[in-house]
Amino acid sequence: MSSRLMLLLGFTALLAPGAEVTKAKAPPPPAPPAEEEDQADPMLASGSPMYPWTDNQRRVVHHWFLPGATSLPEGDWYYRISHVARDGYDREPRTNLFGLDDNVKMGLTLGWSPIKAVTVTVQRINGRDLAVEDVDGGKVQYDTFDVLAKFQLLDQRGVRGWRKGPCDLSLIAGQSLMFRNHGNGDGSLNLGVIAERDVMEDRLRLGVGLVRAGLSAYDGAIGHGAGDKLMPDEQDYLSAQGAPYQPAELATMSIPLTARLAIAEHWCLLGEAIIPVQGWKTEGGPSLATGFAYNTNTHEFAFILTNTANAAFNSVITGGSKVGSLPFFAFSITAYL
Amino acid sequence: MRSLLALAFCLCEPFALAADPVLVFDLTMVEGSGDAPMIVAWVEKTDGTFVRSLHMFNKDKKYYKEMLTWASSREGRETEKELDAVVGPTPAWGSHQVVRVPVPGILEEGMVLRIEQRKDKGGHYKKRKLPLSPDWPGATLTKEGYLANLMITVER
Repeated sequence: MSSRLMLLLGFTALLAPGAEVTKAKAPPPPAPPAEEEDQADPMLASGSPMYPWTDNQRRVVHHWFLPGATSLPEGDWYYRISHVARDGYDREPRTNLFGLDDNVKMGLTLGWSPIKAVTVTVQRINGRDLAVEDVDGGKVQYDTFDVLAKFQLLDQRGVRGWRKGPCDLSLIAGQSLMFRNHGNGDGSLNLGVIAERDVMEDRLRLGVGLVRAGLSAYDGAIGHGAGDKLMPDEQDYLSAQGAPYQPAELATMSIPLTARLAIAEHWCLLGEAIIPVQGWKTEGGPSLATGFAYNTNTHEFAFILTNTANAAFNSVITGGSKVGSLPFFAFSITAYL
Repeated sequence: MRSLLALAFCLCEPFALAADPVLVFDLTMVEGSGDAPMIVAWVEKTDGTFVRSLHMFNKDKKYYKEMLTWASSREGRETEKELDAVVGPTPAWGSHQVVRVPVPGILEEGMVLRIEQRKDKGGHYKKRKLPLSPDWPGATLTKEGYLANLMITVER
């Protein structure tokens, strides 16, 4: 009897307050507000919904040909290497690796945002042989430096631009400076306005704009030929040689169109067209580029097929080399720092 | 004999079931884009003296120095081995994660629970302080930084 009583006491001890039966508890009380203001995330603070690809879609400072409508975050840097073959990939693929082995046009770009909504970029594009008499036994060439400033007036989310608006909207102004290895050079005053908007839960980013180069250029691919736009110092020389062609106009105005479709968080399809509407043009239709890109949140790797082997602002807006054909392979590597 | 055994069981039972308190972090992340943020929780004294890290929600050590408040607080006061013991995976955007952290000797007067959150090219939330006590009931943080919801409960 006493042993049964002790056993009963033992079981009773198990039910004592020191060992509670598990039961549903009320959630802990809400914490008081934090003592001071933190450095809030501007995208989070904007209240805009975000999707896995939103950051990668909004980061595009420069499309394949022309600047985009978005600016870098204040204080950030950006660099890009672009590489386009001047020989078509369908010519001797066994010996020139789809046109990448030689005769390429390369662009090296550095960008910086000194203050909010402003981005300054400098791009250097390698040389073009001018059709003029050789100097000191060597060809006369020029490299081009695109120096552009972008001011983002509007931001669809009110984060990077000067004001919030229905789309991203930027004004662009700068110069394409063509420096000769013998002699001085020429410059083109470049102006533009670009608008872009994200739709379909940020999957699709569409852009349209209007750009103008005061002294447009065109460096023909697949060899320097009559389709090239003659620069001022070429015209007198070729006239003296009896060449019949002289461009009637110096400037070009064009409408750029862009589209980026995010097919996954890190992958997107790219499309860009620049339609010359006034001034000099190649008569080869719009400049076209299409391809895909892979984004790592800090870098973008893009692979492009295009119909113009140019890279400078004032030479990509003049049109393509051939209607209905994308004969040139290109790629770019972009880093956001 | 049997009665003695039963009595011994009754007397020992409260001591056998005593255990260290455990903080349970039940967190849900906001929906976002880009790199997921880093989050770290640690305890310090009210005068700012670092006590110990409770949990680091990120395994990439090269970015630990970006958590400026926590990194400067723990410098010279915690070994890498002690930190490695409380490291866990980065919670993805929109995900839910529960972490249990034993906290012997932490739920005392004069102790403060700190939480720091930071995202690359994003926000930096470092001001959250929760004073602790032996009978601390826990806390709920709602829509704070990158945390859609964080419920901290105490299991004793």
